[in-house]
Amino acid sequence: MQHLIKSWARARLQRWLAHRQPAANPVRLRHSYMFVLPTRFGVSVLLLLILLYVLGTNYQNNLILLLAYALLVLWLSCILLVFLQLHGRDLTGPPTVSCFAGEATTVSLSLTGPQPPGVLLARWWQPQCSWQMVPELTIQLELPTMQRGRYLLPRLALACEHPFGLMRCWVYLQLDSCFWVYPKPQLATTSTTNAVPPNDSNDEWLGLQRWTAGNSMRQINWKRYARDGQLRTHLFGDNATEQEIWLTLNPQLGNLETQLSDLTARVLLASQQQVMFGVRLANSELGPARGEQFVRQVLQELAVC
Amino acid sequence: MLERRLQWQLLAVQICLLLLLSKAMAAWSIGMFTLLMLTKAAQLQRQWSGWRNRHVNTVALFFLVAIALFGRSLGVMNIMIHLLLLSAVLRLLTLPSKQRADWLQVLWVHYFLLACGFLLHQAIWLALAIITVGLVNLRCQYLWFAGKILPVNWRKAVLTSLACIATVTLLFIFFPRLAPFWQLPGSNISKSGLSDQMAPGEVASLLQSDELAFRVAFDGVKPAATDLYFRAKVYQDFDGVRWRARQARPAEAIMRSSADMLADTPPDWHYRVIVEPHQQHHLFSLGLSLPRSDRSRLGTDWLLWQSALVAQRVSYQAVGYARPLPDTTTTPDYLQLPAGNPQSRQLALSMQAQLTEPNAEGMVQLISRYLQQQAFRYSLSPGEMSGEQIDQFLFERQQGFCAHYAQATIFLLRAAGFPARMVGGYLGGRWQDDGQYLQVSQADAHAWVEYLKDGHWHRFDPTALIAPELLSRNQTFNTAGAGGAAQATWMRLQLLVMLPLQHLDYYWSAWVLSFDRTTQRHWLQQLQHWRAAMDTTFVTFLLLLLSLPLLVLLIWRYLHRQQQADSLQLLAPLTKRWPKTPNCSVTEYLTQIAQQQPLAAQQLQALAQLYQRWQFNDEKKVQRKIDAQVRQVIRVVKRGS
Repeated sequence: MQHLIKSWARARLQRWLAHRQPAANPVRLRHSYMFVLPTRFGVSVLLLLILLYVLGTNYQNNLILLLAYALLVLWLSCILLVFLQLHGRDLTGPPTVSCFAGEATTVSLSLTGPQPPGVLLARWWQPQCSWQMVPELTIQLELPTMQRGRYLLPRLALACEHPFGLMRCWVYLQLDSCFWVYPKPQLATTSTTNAVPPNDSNDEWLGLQRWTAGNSMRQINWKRYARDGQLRTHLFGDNATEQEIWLTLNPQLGNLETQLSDLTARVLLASQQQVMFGVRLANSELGPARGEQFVRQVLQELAVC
Repeated sequence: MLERRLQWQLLAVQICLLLLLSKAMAAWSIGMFTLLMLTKAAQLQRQWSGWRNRHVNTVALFFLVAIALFGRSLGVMNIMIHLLLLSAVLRLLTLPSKQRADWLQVLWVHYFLLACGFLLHQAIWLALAIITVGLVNLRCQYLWFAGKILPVNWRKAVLTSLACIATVTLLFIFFPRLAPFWQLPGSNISKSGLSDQMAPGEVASLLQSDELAFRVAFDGVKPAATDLYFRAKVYQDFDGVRWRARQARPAEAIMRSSADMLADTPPDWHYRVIVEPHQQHHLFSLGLSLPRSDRSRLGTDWLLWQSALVAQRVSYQAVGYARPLPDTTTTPDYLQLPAGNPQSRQLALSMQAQLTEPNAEGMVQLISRYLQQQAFRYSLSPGEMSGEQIDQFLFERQQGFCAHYAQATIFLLRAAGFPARMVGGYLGGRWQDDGQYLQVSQADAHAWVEYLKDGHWHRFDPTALIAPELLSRNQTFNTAGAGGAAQATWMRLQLLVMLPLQHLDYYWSAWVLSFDRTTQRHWLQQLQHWRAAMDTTFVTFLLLLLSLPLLVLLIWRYLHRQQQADSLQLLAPLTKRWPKTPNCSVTEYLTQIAQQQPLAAQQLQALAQLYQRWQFNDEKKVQRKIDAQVRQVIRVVKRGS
């Protein structure tokens, strides 16, 4: 019963928040979706000051009354002080986060504004996540493992109790960051370990290319450099028309997840070996191409397949 | 590191609390607490681990048994203080703990104990000490929630304190005050001052005490030195050795009806008394006095008293009339005398025979004449008297102090058939601070006589006949100290340091401690003309409460604006040349200039870094470097063009 009420309240709050604070990146902490409520300690101090007021009234002791008033002022100002700790800051996250299923990944989020004197607490707004202290303005939070797919980052709960712990100010922030969980790469035993049949045409001369930092010094055309001072590098590689492989799901493997895992592993292999490759799926075809960008595109396709 | 430091600070707070609360404790409990605190200190010094729950339970059980065995006489309030302090001390011994509640419990209990400290001490010095301890506790709370050791930001602390003090003062003045809901248990602390039983020997020790009894401030006319007789107790039963006072009882009905006759007469004196705690019920009144405060009441024999014990500094207002007190007693036992003292009885009868008509006043005159004619002397050490005390005093020793003279006079009056009673109280005092208030100490304790004549009680002070200097002593602070150089230094020290401190303590009592519903009403009446628009105190109070967050917000805004203005001022030479749009940040602005002036790009980048250090890292010292860098940029640009 309690669980039901809890989940209902959470869903309710989530809907309200989605309306109040739609996903954004960076997102500014505004008063319209910040919460400030007394902590348990705050409530106990409130009780204490009521008790002191009664005590001071009954003993007609002005000093006790003064103490009660001082605590009351402290209590009330804490509402504002704790609010100002978070208010007006911007939270920036990476535009996309990706990881393979079953793998934990750490997301790094940054908060603007002056260094808060106290500790901030952060967690993903999910039942199994616990609060973690954030000593600095960069928040390093581990994402919980998830099924493959495309998600929005979970709402980030950010809290602060700093000046005196009487009040707690917190927010649930929705960052507009994509969270890709790729299939877990796992090569089936039947698949070959090499994505590409071996060949020796790798050192066919393709032409000259302007040298950029990172290119091998050994392949620089020094003669040309001596002649006109321009750095050119020899370009070797396989012939694009000749070397091109197509990867598909292996239907011999059990269920779709295993097939996807196998395919992911082979895609990674292919990208490691820097071959031109294409992927054929049930109702789509990608490539052929190469490069990180393409691999990412393929993996994203596989994640939502 | 932080936890260790916090524990030391909390231990320091507890030691201060033990010292402050020691008045409410027995020797054995102070010893036990000291032992526990030493254990904690050793634990911290040697880095032992915290106590387990079973240790705590054992000690707590031991302590409870001790309280049950020896602590019965302590009174409910003191036992409560013991238990609270015990819980704080034991909880501290279990620290460092992973449980956040354990730490917070210690902090919470400390606040409560500080309030208990205010119950026991109200003098300004001790109150300031308690406030300081409270601030240390508050800082512990702050550090605990900061999670790291932070240096005190004095500027911020002072600003915040000022705002808080202002708000607390407003709350103190305007927050609705209630009458006490119920009688709370008091603490058992020994009584001081005049007691319900009086023997001359006991008064002598009181007369040598320099302790403060009470202070009086007069509104308007001050009474003459011969009228400064403060009545505290009326003694009527004499057993040959001691005088006994009856318990004061509320007699307001009778008193009010008698007071009706005074309705049209303006009182001679308006005065406010601040009484030091003496753990008894009596208050002090001048002549025929009527109370003007909630807590003081009129009792039998026109005495003022309050129903609760005077266990803390108490202040009340009253008006006084310089006139004889109407007799309100229904059972006259003012002729009671013990057997014995035949010589005195003989003297009384012979005096009575001399009277042409039976008249108490005539008898009093005869007694004064007798005392003046014989070689009576005033002495604080007349030697031990035993047996027939009155005879011994009147015919052998012929020296003594107020109590001796008063009791002998009453004996003679009663023996001659005239009702008389002894009044215990205080005579005179020292005018302080240019006559602003009168300070009365225990050394001013006095006893005098009241005799009944025509249904009224008249005052007669036989001691003043023998030692008229009593009426004029202490009237001003005695600066002409006869004695050596050391004494002169001491006197000067008193004049320079002690006296202002005493005045401070008095005004603290007069303004802060004695603020009550009557004063509040008075203040509110004062403010009535601008308060006319608002209906009730409640509205005022609500507005004040609501304005508090607004105030903090305004201060915050102000500080924020200040900072922005600063940054613009700092870059003024640049903004004059290349205007800055308000909504672009300083870093963006500097980048823009760098694009326009590529020559100075390097300098501008360095400037941006300095600026960030100054603005976000709070490095105030960088400000000078920023100035220099701004000049550098302008120089480079000028050279380029």
